[in-house]
Amino acid sequence: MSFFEIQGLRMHYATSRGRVKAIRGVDLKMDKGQALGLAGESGCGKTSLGLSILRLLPNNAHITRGRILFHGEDLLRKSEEEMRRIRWKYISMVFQSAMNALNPVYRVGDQIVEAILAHEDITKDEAKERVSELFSLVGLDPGRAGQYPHEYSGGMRQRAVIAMALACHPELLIADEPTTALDVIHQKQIIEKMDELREKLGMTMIYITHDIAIISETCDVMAVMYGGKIVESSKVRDLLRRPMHPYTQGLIRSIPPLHDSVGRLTSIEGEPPSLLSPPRGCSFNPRCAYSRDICRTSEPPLRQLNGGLVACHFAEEIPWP
Amino acid sequence: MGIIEYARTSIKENWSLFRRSRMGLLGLAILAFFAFLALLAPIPRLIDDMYHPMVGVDPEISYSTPPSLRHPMGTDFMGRDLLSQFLSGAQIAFAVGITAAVISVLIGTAIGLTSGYYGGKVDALLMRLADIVLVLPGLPFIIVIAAALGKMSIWIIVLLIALLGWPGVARVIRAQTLSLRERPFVEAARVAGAGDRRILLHHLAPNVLPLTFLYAALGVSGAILTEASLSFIGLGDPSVVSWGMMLQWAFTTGHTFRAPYWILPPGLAISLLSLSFYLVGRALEEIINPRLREP
Amino acid sequence: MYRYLLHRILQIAITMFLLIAMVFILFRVMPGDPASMVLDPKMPPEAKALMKKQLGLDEPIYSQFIIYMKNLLHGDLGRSFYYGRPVYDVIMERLPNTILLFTSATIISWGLGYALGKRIAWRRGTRFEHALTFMGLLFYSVFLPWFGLIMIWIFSYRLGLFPLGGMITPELWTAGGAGIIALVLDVLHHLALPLFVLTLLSFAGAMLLMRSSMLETLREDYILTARAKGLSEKVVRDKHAARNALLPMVTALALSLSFSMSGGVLTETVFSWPGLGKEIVSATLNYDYPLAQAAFIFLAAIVLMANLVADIIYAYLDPRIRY
Repeated sequence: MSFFEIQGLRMHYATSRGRVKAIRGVDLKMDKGQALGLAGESGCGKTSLGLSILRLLPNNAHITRGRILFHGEDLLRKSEEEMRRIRWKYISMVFQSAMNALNPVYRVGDQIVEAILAHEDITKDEAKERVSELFSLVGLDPGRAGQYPHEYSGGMRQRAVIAMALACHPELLIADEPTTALDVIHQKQIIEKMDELREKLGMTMIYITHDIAIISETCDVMAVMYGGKIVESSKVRDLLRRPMHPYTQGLIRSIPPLHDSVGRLTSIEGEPPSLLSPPRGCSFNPRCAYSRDICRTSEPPLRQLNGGLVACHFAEEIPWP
Repeated sequence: MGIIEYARTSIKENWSLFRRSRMGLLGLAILAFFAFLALLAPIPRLIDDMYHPMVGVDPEISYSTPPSLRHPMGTDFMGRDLLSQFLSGAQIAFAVGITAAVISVLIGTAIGLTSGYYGGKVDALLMRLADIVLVLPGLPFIIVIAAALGKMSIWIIVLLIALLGWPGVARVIRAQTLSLRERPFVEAARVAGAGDRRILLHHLAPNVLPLTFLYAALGVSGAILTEASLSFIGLGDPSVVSWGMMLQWAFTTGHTFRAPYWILPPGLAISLLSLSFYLVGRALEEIINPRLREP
Repeated sequence: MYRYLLHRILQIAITMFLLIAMVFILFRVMPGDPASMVLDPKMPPEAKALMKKQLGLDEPIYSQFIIYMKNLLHGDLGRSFYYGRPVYDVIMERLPNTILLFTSATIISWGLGYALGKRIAWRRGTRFEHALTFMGLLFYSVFLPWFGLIMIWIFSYRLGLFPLGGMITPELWTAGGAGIIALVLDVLHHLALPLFVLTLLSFAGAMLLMRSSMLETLREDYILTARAKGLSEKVVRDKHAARNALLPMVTALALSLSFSMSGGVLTETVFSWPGLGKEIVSATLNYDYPLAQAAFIFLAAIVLMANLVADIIYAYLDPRIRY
């Protein structure tokens, strides 16, 4: 039994224009203590996947198939009350727009105390004590716990949100683009801090980001999402050294190399597929330089190759310099 | 794309959105019903002089009577036909409501555009003015003006309602203009040599147009209710047969608790017609602001 | 916070001053003899001449205005033509009655509107929401004086549950011997129906405002955070969503106060509630200019004061202003 596993998950949003199929069959497996980087362009279903795990999807979202197993138990079959107890205590999340994740009318410290008291039977003073520890842990002055979010800078809010996510010592932390709103220096600090904390606390972590550089620095395994599916996954080192899926290759080409600035930088042509009516066959085919007839008719399954998984009919033939 | 074709497709698109709102359709149905009644208003007096809503009196009746064949909705205290008064009331309600709403939306749009486009001192001055009018208690204000003027004509009432109604519109249009002003197409027009006037009228005004429709629809309700209130308390135009006036006649001649056939229809009509404009307004709002729609 | 409030108080003071000036000018520029707007026509000519001099009616308009403002500040609002006594006395008798009706209706309707508005927004798309929203629109657009009459007809005239109008039963008060509790109950008995009607009108507006404000707030990220924290639905709804939705609602409600005051005037008139609203209508119908002017100024003052209260509440609720 693995620590955390997603099996054949499918989810769509019912909208007035039709069904937006945000997740179209996702399988994922994680061991305890692992860090998984989930990469992909915006609108490929990454965030929806994160929200599905905590069952925080809006009312018009419908999970039609699949299982989300945490310690072997299907989260999708839990009652709302059971799920409420699992949230934050066992699985917590740092949201994409961490800037607005704090409620403007309450003191930052109180918002963290609130989360602790919702799950643990301790006194308010003990909870406050823990907030101070958490603040020091993420590099914030504990004296600022009594201030309001508007008195914080962007970087401080970000740290506070991370401190809040760690408040109940969760086993699994989902971080959805935790640093996009910040400048580069703060980004680096926060990423390093999170990585350090993960190792110290032995947390399992899912890192949702479009930034492959971050994944390469912090994660063990990496999965690439495209059009509501995982198209490739493998150990980070393997995947970066020899990406097999043309989309992954495109993603990697579009990041500037860290060490030399000579390499060519290219972006992927075209737009991510419409999840309202995804293309037939391989969903990447309209943008793929290697696409052939079969790519337009038959959907490639995710299959074992070179120690990783890839969903491409021609993965063996596609070169990587 | 020609302007007519553009208008046609945009009407088609918006209509298909509007149709999805059940409340909006209900509002439109009520509105159409009363519009039909308003169109019928001139007919009774053509049939017989006694059906004139103001001066026509049934020669055989000199008191209020319940509905009969001769007077399907009954007669008032001096034998005037209530049906023809009711139809006339529909006509007045539309005339007052629409005129007042259109004027106040025009003023509001002009002020909102000016304020948002020029900014600075002009903006500050106009918005302070709007703030003042906004906190002015409307009905007492019109009453005190009625006190100063001595007697009111329906057009003065319409004008006063319009003069009180513009600040809400102006604020929203101003906010919209502020955000439009920063859009590339305005910059492009300026670079192409367009003057302020041209930018305001040709580039900004068309873009705030949908909002003005919304406020016009909501404004009609308010205007109808205000005119009816004034007539009801005895400060309306005595030469106009409106629904509020019908109620006032019933009230002052002591028929309040005796003549349901006289009291009920005008009050219901005022309420329903103002409701219908609100419903239509809300449906329009959902089209303009997709965030309000249910997913 | 104090800077913010000071700013608002100043703004309200300026608004009040402009309103008074406007009313003053309105009654001076009307065609005909301006003195007829100020002086009781029943007054003997000698007294009239004396008053004319006192009020500076022969002097230029700005010095008239200075005299007018001075008198106003001293509580001298002229004499009521109709009652034949100082306008100030009449106003002071009526003012508490209007404040009683208006404030209780406002407080009840805001409270109810808040409580129901947050619930219908939370249960968006359900039948409960559609029904209550429609009901809200219905009350919001009902023709208030007519609705009041229907209420009197049913509950007072037919069922005899409430008095037909007024604020007190005169016999009870003049006879003496009635305890304070009986007197309070008598007022409450008279208050019930007008309060109900006025509340219904403002409640509908408050509920619809709270609904849309809540719907906006529910889209905020901190609501998602609150849910992710494993807080119960009720805590997310009340402590996180509704608390924030309250801020724009207070602003919007403050602006709707002038609308509620119009409703108050109509309610008082229909229920013969002896307040400023009823007085402004009858003063106008009786050509009692000084009283009509004063009643308007005080009605506007009530609205402005209520606005100030709303500002204070807002400042208290929003830490971004409080600190």
